[in-house]
Amino acid sequence: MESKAVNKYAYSVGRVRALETKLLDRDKIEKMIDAEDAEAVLHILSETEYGDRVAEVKSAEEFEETLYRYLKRKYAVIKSFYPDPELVDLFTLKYDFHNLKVLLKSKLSDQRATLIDLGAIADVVPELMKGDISEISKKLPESYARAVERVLGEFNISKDPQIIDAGLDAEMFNLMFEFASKSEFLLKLLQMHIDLANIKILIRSKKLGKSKKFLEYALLERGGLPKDVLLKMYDGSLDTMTSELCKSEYEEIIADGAEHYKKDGSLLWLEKLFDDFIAEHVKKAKYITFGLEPLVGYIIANENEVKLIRTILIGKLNEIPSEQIKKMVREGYV
Amino acid sequence: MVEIGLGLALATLGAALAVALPGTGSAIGTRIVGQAGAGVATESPEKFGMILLLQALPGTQGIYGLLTGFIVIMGTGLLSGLQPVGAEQGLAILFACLPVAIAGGLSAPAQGMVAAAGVSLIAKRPEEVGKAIIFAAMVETFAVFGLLASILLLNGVL
Repeated sequence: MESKAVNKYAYSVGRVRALETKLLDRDKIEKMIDAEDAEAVLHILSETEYGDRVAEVKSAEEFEETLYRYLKRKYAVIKSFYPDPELVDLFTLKYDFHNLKVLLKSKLSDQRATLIDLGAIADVVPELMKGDISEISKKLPESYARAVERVLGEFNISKDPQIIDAGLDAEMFNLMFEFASKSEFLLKLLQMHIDLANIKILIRSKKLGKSKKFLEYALLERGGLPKDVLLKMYDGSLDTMTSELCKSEYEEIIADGAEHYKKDGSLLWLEKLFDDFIAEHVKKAKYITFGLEPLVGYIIANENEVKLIRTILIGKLNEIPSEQIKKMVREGYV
Repeated sequence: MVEIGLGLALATLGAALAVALPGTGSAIGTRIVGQAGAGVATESPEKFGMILLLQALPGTQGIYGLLTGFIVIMGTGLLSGLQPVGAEQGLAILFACLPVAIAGGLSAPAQGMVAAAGVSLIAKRPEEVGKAIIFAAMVETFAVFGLLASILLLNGVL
């Protein structure tokens, strides 16, 4: 088994190790956080791997889209030398499903959101936005088409627009499990993402006073926290729910996240804590010599880096003090 | 003219194993380092020199095996007039070849893994190349023990 992993991953792990040296280091990140304004952040970025992208834009406001283009290029490079190229798709599924959500919502409700030009169906979706809803499942790849049809079926019964989000999330995680089934490391990672999604659903539904039936549909299967346990918690108040959730491995995250939620009604802080927690899990990839873990670690490191730059830039554009930005910035992989 | 008997045949088998097993091991070991090295060199070609040094390390077992094989070839006169070798002596020569054959053949792929991990190390910290070499060289020790045992044993039986 071990030698199989060596055969398969020796080249790509070597390449990833060399590529990792080009990720932003702590020093650069600190400098960006302490920079005076968004222009100064771009100036720091111009000396890094992002240099070419910075040269393309005229102002910091334009840079967000450019970041997606940067990530798109990175995914393509990683895919070109990855021994299991389909594993890269596992990471771009979230953009596919974001685009599907935008698409379905634009047809079924009056919500408008921006498409992301990333993932397998990014080229098809803008065209579908213009067409009729019946066209959607015909023009999408089979697995997506089936997902869309199931969600549409459910929507036609309940007419609840939140079914679109909940249904597509469930479909997305099902597809992800298919991709991830080969690796314990990836399965654990998925479980954490599902737990986070479920906890968010639980808290939001409580706030909106959603029925238990909706929750039964919306809560995701296969997380570390079993669905029936979560459903049972929903009977109690928010406080009893958090104290129940604190009995899990996420004790500290939930205690801290719930406290912030009570103060400002936002789940952003909980999300940040979870991201840090997941980053800790991914850091283990550093100590694995051969296998897909270092490759997965590198993909996530790139995603986090882009998130981090976006957080800093948005912060600077909105004149948020450096201290506050520092609090929100996620732990990097390096 | 000495006829080729069972003794000489066994000695030949010993020499063949001493060359073939560590040689195969070294090929596997250097391949692993080469693959990881090619990955690093794709992004940072300037590290080629250090990578080559690490790739050479699991190659030494092949040399130890060849050396042992030559000692047997010279001792039995396979190149220049055959020496009479009894069946028991031939068996002893075969046994004497086993330490380098086994230790060399198995340590080379193992060393290749350590050296490939070392390649990852210098990808991030080229200044630590010395440490990467020391880690890989630790594995070398046991191949050297195999060679030493084989030479001493052959000294006694040839």
